[in-house]
Amino acid sequence: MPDFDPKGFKLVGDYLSSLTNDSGAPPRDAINRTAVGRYYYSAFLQLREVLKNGLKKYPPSLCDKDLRDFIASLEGGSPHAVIIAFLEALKEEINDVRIRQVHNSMVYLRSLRNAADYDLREAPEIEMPRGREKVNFSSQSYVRKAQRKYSFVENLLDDEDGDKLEDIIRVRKNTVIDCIKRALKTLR
Amino acid sequence: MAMSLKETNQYFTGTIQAGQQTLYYESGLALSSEEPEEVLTVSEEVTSALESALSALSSNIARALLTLREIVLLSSLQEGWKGKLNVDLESLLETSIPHKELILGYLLRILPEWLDKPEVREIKITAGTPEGGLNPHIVIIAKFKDSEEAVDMSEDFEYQLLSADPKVSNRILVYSLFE
Repeated sequence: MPDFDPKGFKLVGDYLSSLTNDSGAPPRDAINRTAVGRYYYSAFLQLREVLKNGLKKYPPSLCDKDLRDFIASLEGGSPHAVIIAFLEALKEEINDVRIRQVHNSMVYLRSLRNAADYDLREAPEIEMPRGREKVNFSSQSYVRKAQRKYSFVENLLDDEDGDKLEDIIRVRKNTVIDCIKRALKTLR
Repeated sequence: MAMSLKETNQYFTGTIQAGQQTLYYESGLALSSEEPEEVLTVSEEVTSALESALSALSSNIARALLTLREIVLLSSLQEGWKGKLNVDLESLLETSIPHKELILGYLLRILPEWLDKPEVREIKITAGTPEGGLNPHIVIIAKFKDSEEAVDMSEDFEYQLLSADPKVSNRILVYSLFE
């Protein structure tokens, strides 16, 4: 049986968001909360796979403890935080609006997903630096927004015109290693 | 004007004769009309380090003043858009962010156009580090009217914030909300 392709989660998100408010359909906020989570997980898992597969091909001369710790945290430690921290470090090193968009998208999607899955109040709140803000999962706007945020990640992974993330990891090894060292600081 | 200089170990001493007056010179020190009683030696290395420190300090002060100017201007903009623009002045002052003056200057330039749009309900500006993040950012929370067009508009707003000079855009985080 082939490995599961996390793009499938994005398709589930698309399917859910296309559901109409017919009688018998689950409540709108339940659909939207689930869809937002699927977009986040699809983006997160695709980023994780590209990073893991790219880094495992690094020559032994670059495979120090930091690289091994980073791969270990992608596989089970704190993969969500470490991916966002890595993107933050990468956007400082490479002047590319797509990386800034992907970093912002992942920070936003992660906050949205946490509220969608854990905050059961009628007006759940998303966490942001220095406070919280209410969101309304009955509104279709949050699903559309999550779709857009997902598309920035997909663009960096599959871009036909510019460097893909996979290419950046393969070509700019020293920059990537520096970013890994900085990202690991969030975990230590 | 006559001038004589002699090099000792690591510094210069000398005299400058200007008219009737003789000025005594030691490297790194001000000219003096009095002959020094004891020779104070300042190496070129120390002089250079002090000059660099002074230069860095004055450039930091200049940047702090520029940042303060932009914060005052942002506060005035907030007065003009009471209820629609909310600036957390305390966090902007307290949070250390590289090129903060450039980021705030950029916001001052682009915000009026967005505040003017009826689809934009509120824009909040604060500063802080996102959960698990590495560095503090200027955080923009933009609240839009709940509509399909507003989602497109929020994307245009975010693109404008994230596609500027990297000194500006690297330290901006945007959250778009709909109500």
